[in-house]
Amino acid sequence: MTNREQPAATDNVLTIDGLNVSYGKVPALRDVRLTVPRHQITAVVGPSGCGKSTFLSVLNRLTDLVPDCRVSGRVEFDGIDVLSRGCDLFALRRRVGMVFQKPNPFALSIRRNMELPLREHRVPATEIDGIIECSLRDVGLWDEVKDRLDKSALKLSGGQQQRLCLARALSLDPEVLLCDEPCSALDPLSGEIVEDLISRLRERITVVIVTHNLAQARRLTDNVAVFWQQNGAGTVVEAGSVDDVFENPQSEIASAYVAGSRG
Amino acid sequence: MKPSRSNSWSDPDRRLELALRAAASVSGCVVLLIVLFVLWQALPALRDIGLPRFVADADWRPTSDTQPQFGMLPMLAGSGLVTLGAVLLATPLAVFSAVLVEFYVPRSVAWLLRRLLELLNGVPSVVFGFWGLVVVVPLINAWQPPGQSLLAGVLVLSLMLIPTIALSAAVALRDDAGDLARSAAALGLDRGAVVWSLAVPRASRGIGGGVLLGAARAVGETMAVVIVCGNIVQVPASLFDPVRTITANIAMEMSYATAGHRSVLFATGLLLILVTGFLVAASRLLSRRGARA
Amino acid sequence: MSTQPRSATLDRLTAMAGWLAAAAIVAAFGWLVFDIVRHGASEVSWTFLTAEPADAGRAGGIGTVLVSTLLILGVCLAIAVPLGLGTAVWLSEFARPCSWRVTAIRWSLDLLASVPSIVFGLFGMVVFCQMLRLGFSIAAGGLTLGCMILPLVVQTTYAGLQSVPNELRAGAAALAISRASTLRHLLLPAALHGVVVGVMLGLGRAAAETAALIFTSGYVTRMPESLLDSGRTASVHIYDLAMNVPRGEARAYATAAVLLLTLLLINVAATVLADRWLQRQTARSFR
Repeated sequence: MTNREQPAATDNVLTIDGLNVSYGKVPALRDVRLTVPRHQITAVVGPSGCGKSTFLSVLNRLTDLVPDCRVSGRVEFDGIDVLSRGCDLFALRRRVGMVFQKPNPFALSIRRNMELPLREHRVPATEIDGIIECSLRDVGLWDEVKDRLDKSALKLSGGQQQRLCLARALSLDPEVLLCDEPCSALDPLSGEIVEDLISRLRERITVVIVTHNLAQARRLTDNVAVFWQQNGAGTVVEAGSVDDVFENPQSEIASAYVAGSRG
Repeated sequence: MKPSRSNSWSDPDRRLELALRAAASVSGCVVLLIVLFVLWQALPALRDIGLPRFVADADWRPTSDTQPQFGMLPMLAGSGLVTLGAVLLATPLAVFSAVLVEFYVPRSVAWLLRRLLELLNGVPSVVFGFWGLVVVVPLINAWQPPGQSLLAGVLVLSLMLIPTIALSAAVALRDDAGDLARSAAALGLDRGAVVWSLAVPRASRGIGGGVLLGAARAVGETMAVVIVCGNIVQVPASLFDPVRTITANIAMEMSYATAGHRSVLFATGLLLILVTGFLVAASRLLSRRGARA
Repeated sequence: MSTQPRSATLDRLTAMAGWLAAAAIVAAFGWLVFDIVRHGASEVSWTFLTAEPADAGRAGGIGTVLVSTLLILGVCLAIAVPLGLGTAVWLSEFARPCSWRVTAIRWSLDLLASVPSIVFGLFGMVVFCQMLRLGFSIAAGGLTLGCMILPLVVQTTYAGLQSVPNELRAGAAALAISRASTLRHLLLPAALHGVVVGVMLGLGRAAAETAALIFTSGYVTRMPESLLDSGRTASVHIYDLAMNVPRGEARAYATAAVLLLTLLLINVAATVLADRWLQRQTARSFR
């Protein structure tokens, strides 16, 4: 634990300040403040319904898909104002990838699943095959699927599907990867594989992972943000390095919540 | 325009959105165009002849050079009576068969009956009319000549309305058919009581919506009634008298109508739009509020 | 105690009335189909299907009528499918639900679906035949029918798109795949069943139509040489034989048999397809 570098104060890839989100008139998040250090894994933990997933989908503006969703505040990604109207979503979502709770491969072949986003981003055709192989190797799926790249991705097992989605996201070479409980819909063994993969990503990219599994947060991540529902909306009640939050929580809520992981 | 959304889209997406929005706007305008054009063609009649004469004139002599008469009363009576008769005949048959489908038969039979109703819905009205002419009309003729009559129209039209009403009623009854049957069985009520004191009252708005929808279809139906109703311009004295409906009147006379006569026919077309539009809107509101309650 | 027997009687009466009603409907429907097919089938032959009508339809066949029918349906689909598809995609994927524009378009489509077909005929006559100077023609008839089946195409396509799970949209958006590509590669293939069923039902509805055509595409039985020629459809042919041609019944029966069986086939196919897709969808969601 101690061999992990402490984040330098300036090198935050994401800075979230005063973020409010509501669906119609129902508030979901209120006054969220958080910084995400580069090349580390940050866990977002908290009970269900406290806005963890909403928080994640603000970071790549997926909230735009929800018609009556209102977002205000400030989210800065590498100097870019994410919530501004002029923000180039195409570039943002390429640099900030996402893996969902439920594996969501498209109802296409494995190859087309990988190809579609690459083509969309105008990756030269000559490079595509190489990138596909490389990404699938990254997630340890290449040897399992190299002989059936043209078969439907829906025929893969749940764990394989999730790794395919991970490979698909990684093929665009993102700087940040958002993971929304990526292991919770998988069987324990597949979950462990995916967890290992995410843990190894730390060298290359920044990961923000939503989880309700405190043990996972503890063994996998560098930083933890505890979300809690207060006055009808989710907010961050405690954030810091994983050791600080688990061993020496400052707030009562956080200490009660993480106590579950000690016991 | 919602700039916050459009700005975040790429150029091809924005072009696509514009094209699709244009398509949607065109689709949305069609009904408006229909009303406007029919109104435009009907204006001379509404202005020069005026609504009162449609009911005040004693006769329908639209082509007379000296003294044209535009009494629509026989046609109004024809449409009204055919619709009323068909709805009255079709509703009990449709509702009873919907109750049967939802509460009394095994799933496979219910499935079969529902499919059959859908198929019946797909039979062309001209085929209904032709069948009425060669089968129903001779039967009535053998009993009470001439056969082409209000009754023939009511019989054929009611068969055409049954699918519309029955399928709507079945949907309305289905909403909580299973739950009702179970919870009522737990209370010791039997099926007949469940159907009449719980299910049908709860579904009454939906069934009413279906009946209104059927009525709209009946008012607008042309081919079947033109073929079997005889098309004599008269207020019928009995079920066995021939009648002419508003729709049949348009179908029969439009091909040779000119000037004022033509405009009068468009005015009756406008009346058809208003009546069916009103019935359908009422049906929607009724069913929707029923679903919410 | 006293309610039990009365209620049981009620139950039995209800069942009996239900069976009687269903039997009456099935009998009438069976009678109709049986009568048309029995009288019509003997007349139907290859010559009948290909020859030109003669003697006002009493002799000859329905070859040219079938050609006109297909041409009118072609024009109808060429207008209704793109317009309906575009409208449904916009309503489902682009518009903000509950905005005034969406509400207005949905209501106007509902009302459009309720307009009597004879009024479509009046509208088509004024706009397509006279204002656009298409005359009594296949083009004018097809355009009129296109307007008529538009609500049906929109409704089924919209339902098909709505049945596509939102995860697909979110997944595509998270990969920065454009709306256009998402639609082309992911959403439309997933919603294809709705489109196909809608087009088939629309086709059936258009082929069944008569009243909207008698003032727009006319009665001419010659082989059409272009879309600007008049041509009568099978349903108009039946109407004309039944109403205006003495002793036209035999050929009217035969034409009705052809039309009825074709339409029953189209409708059965559409329902079977819709059913199968529905099953697959529920199977997928329970997996």
